[in-house]
Amino acid sequence: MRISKMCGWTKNLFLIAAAGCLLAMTGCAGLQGLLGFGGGGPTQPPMTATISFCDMVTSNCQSNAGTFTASGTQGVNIAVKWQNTPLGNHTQQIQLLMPDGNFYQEFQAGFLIDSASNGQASITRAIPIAGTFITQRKLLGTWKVQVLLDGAVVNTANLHLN
Amino acid sequence: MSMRSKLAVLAAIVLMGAVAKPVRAQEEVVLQQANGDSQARAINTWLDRTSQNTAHSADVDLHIQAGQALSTVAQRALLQFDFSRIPRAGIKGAKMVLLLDTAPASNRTWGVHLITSFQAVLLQSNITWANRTNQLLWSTAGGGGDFNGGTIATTATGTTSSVTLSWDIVSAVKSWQAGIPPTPNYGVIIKDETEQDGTLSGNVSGLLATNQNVTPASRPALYVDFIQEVRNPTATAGNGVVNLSWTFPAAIGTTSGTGVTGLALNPTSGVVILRFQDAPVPDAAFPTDGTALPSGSCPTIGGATVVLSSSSLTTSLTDNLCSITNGHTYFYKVFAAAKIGATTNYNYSTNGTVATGQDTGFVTEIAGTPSASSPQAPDWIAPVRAASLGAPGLDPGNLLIAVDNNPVLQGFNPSNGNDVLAPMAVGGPVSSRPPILRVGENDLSGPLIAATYILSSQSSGPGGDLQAIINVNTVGSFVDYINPLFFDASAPHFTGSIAIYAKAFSNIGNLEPSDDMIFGTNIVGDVNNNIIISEDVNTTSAGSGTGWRIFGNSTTSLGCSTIAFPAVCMMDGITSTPLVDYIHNTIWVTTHNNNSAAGTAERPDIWKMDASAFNGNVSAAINVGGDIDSSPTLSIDNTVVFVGTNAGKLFAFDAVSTDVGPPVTPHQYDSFTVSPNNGAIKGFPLVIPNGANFTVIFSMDTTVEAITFVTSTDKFSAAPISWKTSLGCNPTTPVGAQGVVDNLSNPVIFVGCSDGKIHQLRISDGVDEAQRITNPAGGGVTVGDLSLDLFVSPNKIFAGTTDGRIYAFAIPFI
Repeated sequence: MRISKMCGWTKNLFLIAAAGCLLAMTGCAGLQGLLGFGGGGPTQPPMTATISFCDMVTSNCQSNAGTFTASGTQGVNIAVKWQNTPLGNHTQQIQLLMPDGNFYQEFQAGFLIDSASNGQASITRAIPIAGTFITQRKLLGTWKVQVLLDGAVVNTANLHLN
Repeated sequence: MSMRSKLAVLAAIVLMGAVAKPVRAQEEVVLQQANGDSQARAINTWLDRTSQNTAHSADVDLHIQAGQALSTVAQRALLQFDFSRIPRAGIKGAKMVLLLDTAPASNRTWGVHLITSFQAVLLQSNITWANRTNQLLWSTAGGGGDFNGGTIATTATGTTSSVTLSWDIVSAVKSWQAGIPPTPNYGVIIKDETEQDGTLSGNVSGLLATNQNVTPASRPALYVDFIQEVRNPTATAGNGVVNLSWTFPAAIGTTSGTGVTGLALNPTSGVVILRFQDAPVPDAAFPTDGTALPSGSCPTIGGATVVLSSSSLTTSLTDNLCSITNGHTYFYKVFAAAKIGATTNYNYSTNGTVATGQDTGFVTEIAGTPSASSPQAPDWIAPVRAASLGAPGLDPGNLLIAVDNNPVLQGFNPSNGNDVLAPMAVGGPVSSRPPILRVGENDLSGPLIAATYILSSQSSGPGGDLQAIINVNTVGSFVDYINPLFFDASAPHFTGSIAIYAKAFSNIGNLEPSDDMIFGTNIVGDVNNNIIISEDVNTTSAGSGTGWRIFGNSTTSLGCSTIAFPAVCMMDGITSTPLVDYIHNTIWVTTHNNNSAAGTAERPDIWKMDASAFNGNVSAAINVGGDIDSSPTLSIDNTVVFVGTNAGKLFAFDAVSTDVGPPVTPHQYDSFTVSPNNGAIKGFPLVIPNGANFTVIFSMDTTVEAITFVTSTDKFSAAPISWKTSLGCNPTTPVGAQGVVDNLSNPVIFVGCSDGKIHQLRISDGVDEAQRITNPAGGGVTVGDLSLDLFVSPNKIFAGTTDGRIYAFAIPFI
């Protein structure tokens, strides 16, 4: 039972966990890294980040991809819904890449997944459109939105600005 | 094979691997508050979960603590080093060394994590478990810092006190000093990797020495190994040739022996130049560390042509090599190389990051376009590696500050493009030109120093924006502090820039005690509640200093509304930069107006305020018809204010008449409707004197246009100057100045465009008489707003581009 708590595993996995700890000799964290997401370990759904785009004024929302008319849009909220996120401190990054592939902007947000979070978090960042270089210089086309967790890309989506 | 034999073979393989591992070559500098290194921008503090509002920046030790399972005990160290001594370089090693004053009772694993939110250096006495500045909370619920969950490095503490602990944080340093784009350096958290440890029966903690330790050698140290980039790159294009030159900077660190990082040190001893046609050298093209200098006839690396590979410190190249052809733009990357000991292999001034692989984003670049008739080349190119469309801030002749949507500021010498400010993290993206006051032009407390004023939209956390002020003591040495302006849920953005109401330029009518920064908010989606703000430059806490704020949707006066008393002035978002009239001590601000073409009367789009009245009284306001993104402009004699609207209309207002409020309609001279309409008037109208009259030049979607304002009639007129020039691309706001002329003494102006070029237009007739190319890739990158420096020789024009570079060209073009 004690090992089960240490590893964050359920009691009925005691034997597997103990054997893993002995064989790997890397401690429970190492074991969880090796076996936690497959390889015969417990069934644990993979972490996901769902991206949606909402017009900040009209609340018109679109999931996974968005299409907006730049000249009529004050700003777009980019919302990321995290599920099955590991416990601990995390940083979400949203990176905007212009239609030509060059880097435009990044937004960061720190958040904590604790035992009460059930692996879930939702973070929204506002992207102003009207009056920015996007409208003034007609930076129109398909933008790429990359969502990263702790520096690693987790999901991408297209934002079409016409 | 016996087990013993197998083990022997295995050991041999391991040993061979160790021997074959390339020995690094570089110089080493230690960042430590000692021996002339002030570490002025360093932060040393710790966060205590038990006492969440207590700050510890003055402590002699950093506390790191873990508690038993389910406990709420945790202490974390927060460290930030001042990197201003590190020049542009390929980072090869970085080792953080801290003195363990008091060891924990049991061996613990302490890990380093990258912080992802800004904390103000000069407000570090306010950093706590709960707060990252005096008013902004960590965005992570519950506090304790915003940081990446993954560790950069870990180390075992042991149980012995008064020993040093070290962490290899080279991946972090590489991302701060380079990267595409660079990561803002907000410092690191050091924490116990098992804070709520089920194996503990009690709490266990250890102490690390801080910069408050009386023994300098005991203070936190960061050893950084690097190869400096070459400096002063030049290119002169001719007929079938581009002549290049550069210099090697003197070493600033140790270049022999073995560094503290464990890497062998060697000075720079060679150079490799890659060339690419009609686009910058790809980031994936680079000579690989630990390999010999490229050899052969015009070899290629990653698609780029090697035009120079030298084992000496040669400083020039005549590039008429490898089938160079007139009419193409050739980009060059100049890699400094350092020979590895007695081998024939070299390391190169590249970086490598986990995210991007080998990173050549900050290797020195230059370009040239050979031609039989009109060869051209930029004076210099400087990388920032994020789209940079705001006009660079300029202290003419001394300092150029590049802004981009990455929350990192970078400074360059406007004469030669050499870096003078190491990448410096700010709170968020800066999207417009930062004003700079030169030495003696500001009244900041203490010695008169140069200052840069930055308005950034916060990039981290649920709300709030930050206003940074950088005090530039001398070029290359500076301190900074942050004034958090907003910390509420409205989370306004700042799209426009700051106007400075400086005492040094004012008459006796300026009754403000010190310089003020004046700017407006852009609360996206809120057409009523924006704010025009005047903030004392000496203020370091939100809203507590002198200055004033004009709130939208507040009962300010009569006149703004068609509604009966009490009238209310709604205020839509502000995306422009206010105009300060130093003669009349007034401020003009343009705003959006209900996101519509017509606007509404109770929501003015042009505001005139009394700058000297301590409260910013709105003296006049008017709705001229819908949103305005461009800034007002004043004629050189301070008599006329010009405003261009998104509807394509130009207005002229009387700047001299006194309006005492409550808001009256400002005295309007005339208006001019552009026909056919070609979109919004962008940026600001450029006003150039023409005898007694003014030529007003402005950019729209695809055209640059001019009209005359006749001062004898106070009316717009098609005579003597009126023209429309279509460039076939989307132009920037025009820039120019009285006395800027071409080689035939014709007055000229400049615009950047979405064809990758800067165009020189004659003011008299709008003829596009010459162009300079930045990056022609893909039909040309989009060129950002321009800055002119008439204090360097030759005079120069600067532009950022969407490819993340700053380009400088000598003017006039012809």
